[in-house]
Amino acid sequence: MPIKSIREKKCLFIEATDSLTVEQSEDLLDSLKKAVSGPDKKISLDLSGVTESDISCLQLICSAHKSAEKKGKSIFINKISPELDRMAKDAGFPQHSDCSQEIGITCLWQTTGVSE
Amino acid sequence: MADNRGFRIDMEQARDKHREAYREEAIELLNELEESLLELEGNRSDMEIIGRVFRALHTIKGSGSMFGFDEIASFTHDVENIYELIREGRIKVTKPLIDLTLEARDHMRLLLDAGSGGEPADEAEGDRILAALREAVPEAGLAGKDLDTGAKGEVYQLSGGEMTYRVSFRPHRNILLKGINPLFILDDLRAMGRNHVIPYFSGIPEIEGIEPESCYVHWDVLLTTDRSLNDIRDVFMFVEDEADISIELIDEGGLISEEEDYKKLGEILIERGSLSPQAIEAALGERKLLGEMLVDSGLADPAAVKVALAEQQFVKDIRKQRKAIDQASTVRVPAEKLDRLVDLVGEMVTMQARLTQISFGRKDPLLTSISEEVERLTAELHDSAMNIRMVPIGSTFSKFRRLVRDLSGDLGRDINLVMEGAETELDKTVIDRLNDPIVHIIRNSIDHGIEKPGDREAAGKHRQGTIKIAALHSGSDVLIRIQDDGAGIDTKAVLRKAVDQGLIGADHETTDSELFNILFQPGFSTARQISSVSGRGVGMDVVKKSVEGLRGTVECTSRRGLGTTITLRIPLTLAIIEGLLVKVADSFFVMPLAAVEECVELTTADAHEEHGRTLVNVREELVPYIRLRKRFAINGRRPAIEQVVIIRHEDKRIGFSVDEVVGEHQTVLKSLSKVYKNIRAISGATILGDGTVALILDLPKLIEDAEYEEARTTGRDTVHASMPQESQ
Repeated sequence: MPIKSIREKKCLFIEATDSLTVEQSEDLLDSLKKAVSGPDKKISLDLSGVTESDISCLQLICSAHKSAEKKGKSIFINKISPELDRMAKDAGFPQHSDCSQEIGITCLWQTTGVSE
Repeated sequence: MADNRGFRIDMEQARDKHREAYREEAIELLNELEESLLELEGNRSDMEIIGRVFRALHTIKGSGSMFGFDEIASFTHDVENIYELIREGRIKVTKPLIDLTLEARDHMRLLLDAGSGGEPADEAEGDRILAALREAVPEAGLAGKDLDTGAKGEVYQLSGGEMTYRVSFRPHRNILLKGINPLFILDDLRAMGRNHVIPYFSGIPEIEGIEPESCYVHWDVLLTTDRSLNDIRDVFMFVEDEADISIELIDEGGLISEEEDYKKLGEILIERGSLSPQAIEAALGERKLLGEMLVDSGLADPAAVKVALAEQQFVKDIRKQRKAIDQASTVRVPAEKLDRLVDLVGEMVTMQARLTQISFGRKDPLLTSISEEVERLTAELHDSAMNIRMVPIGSTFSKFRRLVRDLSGDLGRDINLVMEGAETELDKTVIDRLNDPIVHIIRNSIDHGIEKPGDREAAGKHRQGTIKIAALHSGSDVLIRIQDDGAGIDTKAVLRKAVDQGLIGADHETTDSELFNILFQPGFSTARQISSVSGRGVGMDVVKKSVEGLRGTVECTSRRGLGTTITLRIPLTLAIIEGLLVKVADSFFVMPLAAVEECVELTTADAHEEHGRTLVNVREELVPYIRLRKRFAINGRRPAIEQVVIIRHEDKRIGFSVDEVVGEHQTVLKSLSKVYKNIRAISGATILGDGTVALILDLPKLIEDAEYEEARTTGRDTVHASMPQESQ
């Protein structure tokens, strides 16, 4: 199972590893749905173990971000693999354009740190 | 058949020309690479320098591959990959990595020479460097693996001829179900040129309503490329039915507008259909920035404004970069073409002098007017032609940084190299020929001058020694000073050795200045041990010869324990000199004006002769002089009053007696035929206004010959009395 969720100190940590493409997207969707609708105010994503991904995964994370913001929750990417980081950059995601319909809100993809 | 052969020859010539152009460019890039690496050594996390290193490698590789330098392209590719990892922050710069990259740079130079018909480079050495580079980056877990990072050539340079397109790529919702990854399409577009990818993800639903197999995102790609519209369309060849695609030209490079400013925000919004012209006009009635007004008034979507602003900024940047390139554009011209131009200008100056002389004699106002105009134009032409050849000496200076770094490492010294006046300009030929002499001086400074750190501390000095290279203007000359704060010259040791070698007599009283000059004698060295760096007695005499070959002089000063300074005085250009024209009987000679101190009359009463030496009394000072009439065996009677031109040579005043001093003369140098190459006292010739040839005197050699002759006839020792050698 490439996706694990751990609750710790009012924060939900979601860790995804290996391949995170459209084939695994239902699992990711399920985890994100639970996280957004759950009691935790903070959702931390650890994507440092993701070796392969596609647009499906990027969209799901953006979608979760949009829903979480509406519910007053904070979702952020704590760690990201170089592969996923490059893919998000190549797709133009960390630009904060057209994200949550609000100028000034922090873009999810701009706050990530590439793990060594 | 003949036509085909001609075509093939043309193609080959064109290819050779391109290869030569690449070679020249690659040499410059390799020099830049070396410079950046040395800079990086002191600022290992400076991303700007890392970027420069990467770009140099990237261009060497890319162009190398294009022009058939496959080996250099392949070798550089691996090194480039490492710097791609550094750029991404995946590995850190270390000293061993810089050492190895410098070695790799040297190997690239060998590969470049090999690719241009030179000696083949040692393949095993290249493999060793690459293997060591892989070992040097274990953090990235790359040892022994292929270093391909998957970099897709993100570094683009505008080269002219590019167009900027707005490519709109709107994948259909079910594109992922068709097995198509839209990100691959973006990769293909990005590979075509400089780009800015703008995603639109307002279509992404909230998490409860999203279908992960659907694609909700679409993109605009602003692409600046020299590829054709059809090439861009080809990217979408297999997804035409799975996406809505539009390609729009938004900037035609330099063809339409030279302005840096791109369309105004409102224009872009109207063009993209985000807003009506009326809405823009209404909003312009207020005073805020248009974007803010539109958002505040709810007329425009904030995201749409941001996208339009991004497009505006992208095209502005492209135009700004293009403008900078236009302004900095240069034309590479082979040095021999410049030599030919200067040569022609020299001829022009000569012809103009003749024209002036003739017009002066004719007293024709029209001719005089034309002559004056030609004179003015010729002077301007001359200045422009000479300026073209002037290049900053900094390009040569930067090479010494590597020399000092490597040598101080080899010899256990800690040396800080300080460079001043790198912007000082000198004739290109002069700069090229200065390299070797300065290398010799620096090597000597490191080997004999600067002490080891422990010795320096024991002597109360800072552990780190300093070598300072400075260039500055001094009239029509440039002074190049190489100064070290090392141990200085041991004058006693120099004196002892000079006596041992028979260069001076044991009882000869010498000044420090004379002793320092001995250092420049052939074969002289005080080094007890011969090292690979210096101490063989070859080097400093080569320095003197090389500098004199440039009509320059070398001066040495030193203080024991404090350091040594060697000053090279070099004329700005070799092509034209300010000379003093003199006459002996019917023969004209030119002396470099820079050396001349004064001219005095010589009457029989002023002339003295002591021990075969001719002397002139100048304000109670006896100045030795050389009779040019005698030296060149010119027949005829001496005039009752001769002229003595007094020059300064190595802290001594020496005169040359002539019949007449004609005056200052702008002298266009003409080299003598090979037949005359062994005539020591003449360095060249020039043509006077009336077509007469004047010989240019090599004053230091005339003095050297006279001193040798004097020593031979009187049996007296002099510092310079070694057998003069014919110049090669």
